[in-house]
Amino acid sequence: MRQTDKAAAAEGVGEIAPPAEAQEKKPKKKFRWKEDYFGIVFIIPFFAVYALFSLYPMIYSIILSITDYEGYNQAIGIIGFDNFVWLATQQRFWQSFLNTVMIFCMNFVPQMLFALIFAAMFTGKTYKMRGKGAFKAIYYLPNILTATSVAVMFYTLFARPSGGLWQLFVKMGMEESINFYLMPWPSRIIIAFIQFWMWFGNSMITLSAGILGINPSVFEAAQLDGATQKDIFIHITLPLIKPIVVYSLVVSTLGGLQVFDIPYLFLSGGPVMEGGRNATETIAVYIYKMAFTGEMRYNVASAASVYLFVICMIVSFVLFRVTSSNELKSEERARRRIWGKGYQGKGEEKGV
Amino acid sequence: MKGKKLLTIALSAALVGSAAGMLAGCGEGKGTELVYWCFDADMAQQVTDYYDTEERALEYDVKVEVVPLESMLTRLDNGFRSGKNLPDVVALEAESFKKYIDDGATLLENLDDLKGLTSEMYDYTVEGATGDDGHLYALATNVTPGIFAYRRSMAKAAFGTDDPAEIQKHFDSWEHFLESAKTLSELRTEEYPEGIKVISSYMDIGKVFCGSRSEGWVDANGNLAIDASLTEGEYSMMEVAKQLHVNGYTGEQTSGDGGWYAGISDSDDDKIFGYFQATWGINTNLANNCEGSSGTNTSGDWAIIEGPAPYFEGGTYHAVIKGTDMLEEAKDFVEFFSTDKGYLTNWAKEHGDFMNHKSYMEELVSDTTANNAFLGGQNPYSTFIAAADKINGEIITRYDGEINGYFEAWATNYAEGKSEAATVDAAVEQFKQMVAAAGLSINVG
Repeated sequence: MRQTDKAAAAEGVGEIAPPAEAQEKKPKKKFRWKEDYFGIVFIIPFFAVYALFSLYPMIYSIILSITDYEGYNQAIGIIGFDNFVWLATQQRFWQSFLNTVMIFCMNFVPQMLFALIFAAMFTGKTYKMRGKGAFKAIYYLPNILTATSVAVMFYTLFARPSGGLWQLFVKMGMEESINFYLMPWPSRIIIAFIQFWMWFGNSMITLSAGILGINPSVFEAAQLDGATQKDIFIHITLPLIKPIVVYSLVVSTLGGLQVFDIPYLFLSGGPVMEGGRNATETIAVYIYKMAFTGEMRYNVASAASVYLFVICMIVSFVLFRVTSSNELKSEERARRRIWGKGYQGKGEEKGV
Repeated sequence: MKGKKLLTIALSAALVGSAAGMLAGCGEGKGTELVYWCFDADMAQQVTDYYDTEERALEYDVKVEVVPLESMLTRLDNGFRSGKNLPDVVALEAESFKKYIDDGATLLENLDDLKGLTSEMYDYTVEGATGDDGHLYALATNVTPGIFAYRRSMAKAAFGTDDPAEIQKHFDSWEHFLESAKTLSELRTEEYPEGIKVISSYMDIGKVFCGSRSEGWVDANGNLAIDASLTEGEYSMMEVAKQLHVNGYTGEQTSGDGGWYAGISDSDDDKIFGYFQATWGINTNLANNCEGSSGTNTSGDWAIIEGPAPYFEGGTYHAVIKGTDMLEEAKDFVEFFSTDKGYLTNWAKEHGDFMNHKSYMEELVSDTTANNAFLGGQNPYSTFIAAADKINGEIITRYDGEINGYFEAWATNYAEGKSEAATVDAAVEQFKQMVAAAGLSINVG
């Protein structure tokens, strides 16, 4: 590929700097269609759509965040960072951030744990199990349902006094006066559970793909050396699917920070708590409510989304930093193990 | 090779084309058509059935667009800001659109020359359509007082009669309402072995209390004002809600949930005596849900009374957008839907709706063709008129939808005995913080 590029470049140079006698005639630089240009044509739609639906709104909301653009206000001016300062003093805004993190942690940890266990079970060579495909499909199924149906279904299940699960809890001795939807923690836990239930099938498939991508001879070698199933899982499977786990971690964290559908559809941010805060209001729900209900404060909502954007940037930067530096370190550790403690040649190797 | 090249070009052109196609569109023409935005299909129906008819032979087209309420606010805001993509006439729903009427001077055409028509209208609708500057910016086409609808068979079992005039005596104040709730819940007959719940959700009283306040949420100085009827005394909203909850007088459902609707068709576990509903709710909520899946049907077993306090819910106003090039036609449109006898009386009879014209509605009181079969043959108009006369339109503010919700949330927490709302004062304090956190331009003391 590089060679053809060079050839093309050489051709171009020849055209731009022709011999002296040709220069007098100044031949028009003729546009010549090259097969390579199709590549450019094919990527144009993506970039056009991206520019219009992602880049433009992003820049626009950054601009909005420093204005007093509210409702149908016709005279819009730049007011600096007032919106950011106002938000920083809002307990409700920081609570929404905290809620997002709490709901994410409560759903992500069990999600990865279950996904790993099931992925290992479904891909294990020695563990024979009937109907693997059916189970995989069933576990993945919640992810296909729309968030609306899932939210309504769970809402109905836990609602007092007609919800099936609520009645079950009462039969098991819970007080009849308890209404989950008026209590912060039960509401959060139910939402985290819905997220877990919807997404663990998805993580499981991703991790299974990672496990299946491991060279089988590694497992065979380990088995020949007498490793148990547990040893293989801990010392071979886990380290080798680390890139996939990291990928899931980054994608889920960013998705988790921006979660909107279930919390909004389920209780639209409620129940209310002391100090004007809401128990399941995530940042995205807060942004939506600020922008599209009541007084339509687009400027404040934009400022909040700039905060969210910055937080997402920092989190992904940190995640990439932590995971990639670990990779280098572990290589280093491996080298030291092989070559002994006196190994010094890390500088030369790094570039490879 | 050539064929392949052609195919590639065609494919890439198609990709670019489809992307470009998505961006095209938008932009409405004006001039010879009157553009009308409304928020439900019924309203579009009214235009084709009564206004843009062959007999009337209008010289221009009427273009009706149904914009769902949720997106109407955004579209109007964007339109008003940019001055583009606006209709000529818009239907506004009373509560969520008060802000446009308040700022009518810059957004809507002044309709003061139609003020003569308001003598036939119910006062609260005129108050609701008057801007901050005292000018008239809209005309209401229907009136939507709230009533209390109850089950006749249950009334007979508990009070010995199903006559609305008699039943009203049992529910004419919150004190009597609570007494009757007690009677109903203690009733033990063969048919009602576990008694009757007076309403399905105790927070249904929220809209009644909020609608019957004597003071709006914001006072003249822009401060948050909390009406005494909500918080003070034995029969305030806070205490009535608590009594209903603690004594188990209601079905404990959440308004609008499946269980709440199940009570209408008698298919819930609890027997529900009645529902607070606005005029349109009789049809939309009750009549449409009176058949249960197990074959129960409560149609004809209902009757309506004024209930303990006057309130309203919803209501449609027509306003003309400022700067329209169809001003006369737009005004004619607004006038028609508030004054045309044929439309007002026929629509009322067909849909059980209550229209904004006093004398026409009074004619319907004695018109037996206006009797409602769903209400067991009761003519609802005398109750509607009595309820509409008592509504105070001055309490309507642009923040009502939002603040009512916050107050109901903390009244619920107080009723349920949550620790952070152990007393009325504590709950009110939390409510104030909630309003402050919403970032509205109201001073919260």
